[in-house]
Amino acid sequence: MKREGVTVDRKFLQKILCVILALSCSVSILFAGDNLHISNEFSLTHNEVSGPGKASSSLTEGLRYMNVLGVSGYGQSQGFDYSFNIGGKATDDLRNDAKQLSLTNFQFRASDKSNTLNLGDTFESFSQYSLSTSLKGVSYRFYDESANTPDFTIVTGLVYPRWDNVWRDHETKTVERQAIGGRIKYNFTPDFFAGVNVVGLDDDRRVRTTDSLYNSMVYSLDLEYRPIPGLTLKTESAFNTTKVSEGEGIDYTTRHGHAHKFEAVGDGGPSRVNLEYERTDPNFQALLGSATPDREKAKARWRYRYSKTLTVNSGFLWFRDNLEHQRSFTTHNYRPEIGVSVRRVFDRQYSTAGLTYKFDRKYGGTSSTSNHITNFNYRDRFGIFDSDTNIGYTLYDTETRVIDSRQYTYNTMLSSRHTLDKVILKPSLSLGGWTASDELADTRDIIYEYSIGLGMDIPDHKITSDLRIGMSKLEKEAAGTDDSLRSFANLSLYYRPDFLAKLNYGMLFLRAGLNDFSYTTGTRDFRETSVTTGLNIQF
Amino acid sequence: MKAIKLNLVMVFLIVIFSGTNAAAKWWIFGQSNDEVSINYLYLNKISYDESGPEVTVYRETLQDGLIHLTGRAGVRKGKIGGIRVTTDNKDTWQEARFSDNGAFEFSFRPEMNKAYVLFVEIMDTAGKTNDIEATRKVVKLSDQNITGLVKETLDSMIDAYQSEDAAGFMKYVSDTFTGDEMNLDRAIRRDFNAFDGISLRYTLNNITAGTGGMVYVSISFARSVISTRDGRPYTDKGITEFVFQLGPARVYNMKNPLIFGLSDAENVATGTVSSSSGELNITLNEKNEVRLTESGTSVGSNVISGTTTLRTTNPVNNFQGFIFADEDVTTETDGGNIVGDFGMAIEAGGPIIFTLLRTGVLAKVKTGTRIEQITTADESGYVNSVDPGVGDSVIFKLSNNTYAAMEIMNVTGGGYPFYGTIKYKYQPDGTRNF
Repeated sequence: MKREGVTVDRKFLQKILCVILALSCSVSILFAGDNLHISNEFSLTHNEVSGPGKASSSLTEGLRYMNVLGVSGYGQSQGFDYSFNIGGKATDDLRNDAKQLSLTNFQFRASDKSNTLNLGDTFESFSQYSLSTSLKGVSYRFYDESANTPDFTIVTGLVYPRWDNVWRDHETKTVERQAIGGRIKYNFTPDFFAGVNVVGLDDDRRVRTTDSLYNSMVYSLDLEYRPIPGLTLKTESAFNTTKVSEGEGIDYTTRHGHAHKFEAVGDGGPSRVNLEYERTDPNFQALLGSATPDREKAKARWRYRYSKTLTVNSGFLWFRDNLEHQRSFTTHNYRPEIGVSVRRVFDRQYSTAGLTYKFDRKYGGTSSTSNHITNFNYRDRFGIFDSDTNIGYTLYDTETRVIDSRQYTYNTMLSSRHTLDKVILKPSLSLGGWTASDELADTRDIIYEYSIGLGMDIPDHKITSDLRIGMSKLEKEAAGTDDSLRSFANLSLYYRPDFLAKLNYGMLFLRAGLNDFSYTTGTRDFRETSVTTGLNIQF
Repeated sequence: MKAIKLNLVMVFLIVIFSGTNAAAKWWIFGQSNDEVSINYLYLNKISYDESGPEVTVYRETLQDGLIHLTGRAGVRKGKIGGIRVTTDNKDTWQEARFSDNGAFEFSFRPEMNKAYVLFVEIMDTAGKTNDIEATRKVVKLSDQNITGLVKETLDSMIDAYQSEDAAGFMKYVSDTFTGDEMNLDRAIRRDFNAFDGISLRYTLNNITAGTGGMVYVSISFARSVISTRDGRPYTDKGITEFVFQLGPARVYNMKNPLIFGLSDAENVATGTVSSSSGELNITLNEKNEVRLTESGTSVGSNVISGTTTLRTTNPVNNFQGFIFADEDVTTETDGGNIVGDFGMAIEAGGPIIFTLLRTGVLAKVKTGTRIEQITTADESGYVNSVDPGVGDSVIFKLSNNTYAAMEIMNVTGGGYPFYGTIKYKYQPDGTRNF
């Protein structure tokens, strides 16, 4: 089926893009002169995984390398400011990246007083619904601030999360998505602007027969107005037409959707108030923007600084689905919350206490849940010790017996700092626990965890280090489940030696970790050790 | 419900109408009574008040190499006589451009790593000034690239998430987070209840600084967790995306597959990263149980899917069934009573498959259709008895008006017990969309 919409010879576009990349890269480095900056981090990692359950480890065994290179520069030429940013990554650990060698960044930007041209990585954030993602392509902006001309931007490119998608290697090949868009924004007064956005999108070249292909146009209008001091009103309305084919051989169907958002922010004195209303049609697909379809939402937040030591935060969120009655039932969500934060409790100089309560109510169809989340935090200094303590209680309650549980969390951290001649020692102790009573299964799960740490800094030698050893134990009562015990030790050491001082930044680092996992089912046990050493330089 | 909506409308109306009367600033308590004041002030589009006494501006985020101050001054009586700004701790002052309504702007080109001490002075025609000391701000231009800044922020978020510190994590989330920060806050707390021993590693695929102080980030991640529900370890890897707002860096949106807030992915994620790998990623269902589902699930989808095997020891009274909502294989029936949404009895000599439905459940066979081809459940044509074969799919209309589908992949076993492997998906939200 032939689709209407945006069509450009993609192979031609890709070739052009590659040539532009290579040319601008060479020219930029040549002209950047003193304003050329290079950063490079090279690391070697040796991982060892043993035990019958070693398949559960996320580490790749053996000796692996990783190198991340970044080159950036800026300067002026013939009345234009320009800057560029190029980066690459090389690794032989396929858990870190599906590709051994990849271009991570390429961006070239040139601008004068009113013109800006961007090549390569292009992120023109038009508005929430129209365009808020990055493209591999080109954009041009014209705006003369002194003459208050309309602010005009056009952009085109491929919508990929990484450059390897452009080369379409088989490890990283995805559906080809091409975008083109434009925005005109005009400041009618210093307090009022309006923007009109048009963005088109066209998918091609499925990777799998089940991939959906989209062809879409979004039109949106966004406004911002500050009617009185401290009050900002923002709104956006968007309309789209989306054609979608949900798999190989499946005809395109057309959907029309719309989305609207209104926001008021009051900011003055000790208060900040946010009010928000949003309605997103079930058929509104923000493929290049950011939105959740089928959603009507209202939200209010109020932060009130009552005094220098007391702040109150409150909020209320409500949302529902089934806007077009396309579902057999509507689900409503109510999420109010309130929190109080107090400093200098009992007139203690370093004390801070915070109490928050959050409520979740969700119902619709045959499901109904009411969750209560309460947390208390207290920080203080007692003699040489800084303490940070958290206590939490959460009640999950569902009428349909999905999850009925009472959960308690409690953890405290004690830390201290001592200077011994030229060495700073930072010992710490962390204790924590979690208890969950499952009322449906009539079982109780408990996690105990503790760790001790010792940080050691030697400022004269530019050394910082940290060692932490601990364990975490999960005990479960339910039949057919596993208890687990995780013991761990982690060391990190960072050293900026004098011989690297002539660089803008030079650092040697060592990171080592040991994790031992033990389960009731012995075939799941495994142990992993990992040692990474590397060098980070910037000049 | 109607009353609540009416109240919300009333609140918005109050705000809008308050715009006609400057005195109706009901939310501003203790507002300055000075005769000359600054009503609002922004530094590179960031609220002056909220950015703290010291601000670091990153070179890559400057549109044209300039730092812009924009604001609006107000005088109780008379007119504004002049607006001046100093960037060198009051040694020298420069005039700002302003209009009659008090709007003003000032720009300067900063040098790298130099500290600028700013003050703003508003003077009315009678010579009265604002509280100049209150406008003090130290501004530095940093050469630190955005990559370093974003990496630092992501590292801090991951540290907080791994140590299950919800408040520490939420410090890095923008007030304008598109999935709503109230949803994300609850979702990560629920994640912490679902997981123990969270381990996350990542490498950066791409970082792009954009207009309006936004930064796009793509990462490859590898993750391992222990489920507190079944006590088992799970691992996965994938590619995901974020957008950060610079100010300091705060996360503005996140996409599927999520690495934070998995327990409410439907509300937290506003988009899905294009993926070709068919990689299975960790997700959480309503019971906080870990499921491995394919990344690239459409935005807002609740669909539960998976593969399982049902056993038949005797086709008359000993065969297993399945409950879609719980993804539970039932114990074998006793006397042919169906425990799940359906029971699958396999009979030797073909084998022949009888799909027996629980009372209230209806079904429709799609002969020779793969489950992937079923993207919408049929509206009608359901019956209370079906007999599909291997390679067929069945759509179910369950007793609570939700829809499910399964495909019979194969049947194994040379004699009893027989094992039937099915692929299934279940839409719990009441729509017919899978």
